[in-house]
Amino acid sequence: MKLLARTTIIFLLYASVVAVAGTFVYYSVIRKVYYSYVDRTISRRKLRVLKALRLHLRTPTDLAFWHRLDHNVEFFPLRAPGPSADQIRERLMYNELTGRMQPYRQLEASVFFQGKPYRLEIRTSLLDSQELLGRIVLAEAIIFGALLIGLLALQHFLARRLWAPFYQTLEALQAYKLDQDQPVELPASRIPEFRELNTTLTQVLKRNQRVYRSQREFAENAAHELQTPLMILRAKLDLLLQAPGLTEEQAGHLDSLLAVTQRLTHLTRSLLLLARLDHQLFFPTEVVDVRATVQAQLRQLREQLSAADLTLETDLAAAVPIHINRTLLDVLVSNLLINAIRHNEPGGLVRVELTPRALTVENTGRARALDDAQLFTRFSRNADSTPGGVGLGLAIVAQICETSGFIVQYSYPAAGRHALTVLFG
Amino acid sequence: MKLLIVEDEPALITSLVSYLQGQHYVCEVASTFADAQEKMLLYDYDCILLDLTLPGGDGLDLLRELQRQRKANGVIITSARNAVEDRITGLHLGADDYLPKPFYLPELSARVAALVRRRHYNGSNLIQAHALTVDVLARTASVAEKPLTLTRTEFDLLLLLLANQGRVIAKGAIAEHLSGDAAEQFDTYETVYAHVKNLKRKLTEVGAADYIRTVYGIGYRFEPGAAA
Repeated sequence: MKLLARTTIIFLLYASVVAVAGTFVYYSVIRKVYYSYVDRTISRRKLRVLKALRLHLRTPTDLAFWHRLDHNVEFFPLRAPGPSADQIRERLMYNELTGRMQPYRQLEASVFFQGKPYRLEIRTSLLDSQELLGRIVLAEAIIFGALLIGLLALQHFLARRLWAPFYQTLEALQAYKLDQDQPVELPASRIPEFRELNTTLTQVLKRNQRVYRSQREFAENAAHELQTPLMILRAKLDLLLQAPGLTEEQAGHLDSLLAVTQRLTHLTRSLLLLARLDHQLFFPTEVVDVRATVQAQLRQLREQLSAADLTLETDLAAAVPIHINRTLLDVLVSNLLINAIRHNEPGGLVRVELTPRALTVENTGRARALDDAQLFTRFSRNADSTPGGVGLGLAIVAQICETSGFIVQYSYPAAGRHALTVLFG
Repeated sequence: MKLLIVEDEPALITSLVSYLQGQHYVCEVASTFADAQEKMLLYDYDCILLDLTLPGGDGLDLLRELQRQRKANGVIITSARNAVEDRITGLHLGADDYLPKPFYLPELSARVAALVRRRHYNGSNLIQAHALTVDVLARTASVAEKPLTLTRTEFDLLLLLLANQGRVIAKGAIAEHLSGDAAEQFDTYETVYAHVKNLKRKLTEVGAADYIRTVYGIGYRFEPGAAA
């Protein structure tokens, strides 16, 4: 559940509890206030009745007459004087106006009239006042409801506004890639918590990027720094070759050294290319005809093909223009072809098929499918590896495909047939 | 022929000088940016070998300066920076060639020879070595007036051999000269053997059997007329 929804629900629960409880409390408070008002009124009326008893009333008939005029005042003769304290209570009585039993508030007091004890009852109808009470409670409930709904809406709206920086930060983080060049731009916020969050995040991301970059640069610099010693090594070997009186044994050692130097050279160049592919996001692209590239690379490798006694089969579509960096396409095609030649068997076959959507290079080889998870891993070695390679050719292919938005797949179409397919775009 | 070697690595300087002097070039050395700048402005060279990363500045700035001064020196950039952008920038700034380190000395020699030839072009562009005559422009060769029919690859091979006369050329250097970067991915030299064999056969047919010597299977030496 979203944070917003969760806070809203909790708020809603609390608000309804307060609203329900509040309504009851409010009702009872209002009721109490009202009753005490009624009681005060009724007590004041008693004082007026007592004054009338003293000054204006003469005979018990007057008492009955008064009751006829005002049903809410009634006298009952008592044999002995009643309790001296007044009593106020609620009772039901028949009401002539409505023709039904109605609640009344009634005050009972002991009075003396012409020396005889009487019980005086003064009543006031609660009919209107109960209705009033109901109305008040209803109005209260409506106000409370409106307040609740208003608060909810306000809270929802505010939450969206208040949390906006958070969602922007989240969005920026989701779009973030470790190898991107630009630093992450997190939105500025006036709220200290968000500001702190963004500052911390920015620092962490910057540190990560710095570490990542320095590792990438380390690989590149290391390969780079190796070029000069390699150059010196090569130059010295070239000079050593010229030494007069070179014996066959010495020549043999030199030969091995030259071969190793060559391998080192190839290794450092491959590492440099990989490092560049890793950290350069953008390579300028142009429209290149893959068919022309394949043909050019095949021409270059013609001699290696015939030296390894391989048959070349081609099935190339007329023209396959794609958007790509020309150098990268050259390396891609060349690595695929060289791979097919290197891992072939004498008298084998290299088949190159180009369609508008894909380039497939197939070669004969071991009668066992390869582990395609390992195939594109850097420096992956297995029992089948041909000695002499540096184990980066297909890693470079995979990296170029990733950079260019291609997909490379390995398949084992028939026994002893290995195929690598590059799907364009 | 006068060369300026702009390079800051002492061990490499001695190697370059030693090899190129053996090919009868006069070599001068500049090992800092300022040094190179001064020499470039004061003297004329047939060819400048220019390293890009120098103490005191970027080699590309030297190129810019040369371009401003309209100095007509041939320039070969020899750099460990193998970035395509550097290559393009360098060639755009008037460099004639770009040779990424590490390279084989015979390859450098061939590039220098080709550059010097282009700059001193006097209509014919013939190379004479003993009885062998090579017309670089027409891409033809003959030995004592008898024409050699060479394939493109064989002709390129012959040019490499000619630029390194009397020197042992490692077969790896030949492979790289003929197939470029792809060569370093193969550890066999079948194609080199095949081409050298064919060239030798063709030379033998016109009576130049001893021009190419095999050196213990490690490389080849081209010495026209050595036996004579």
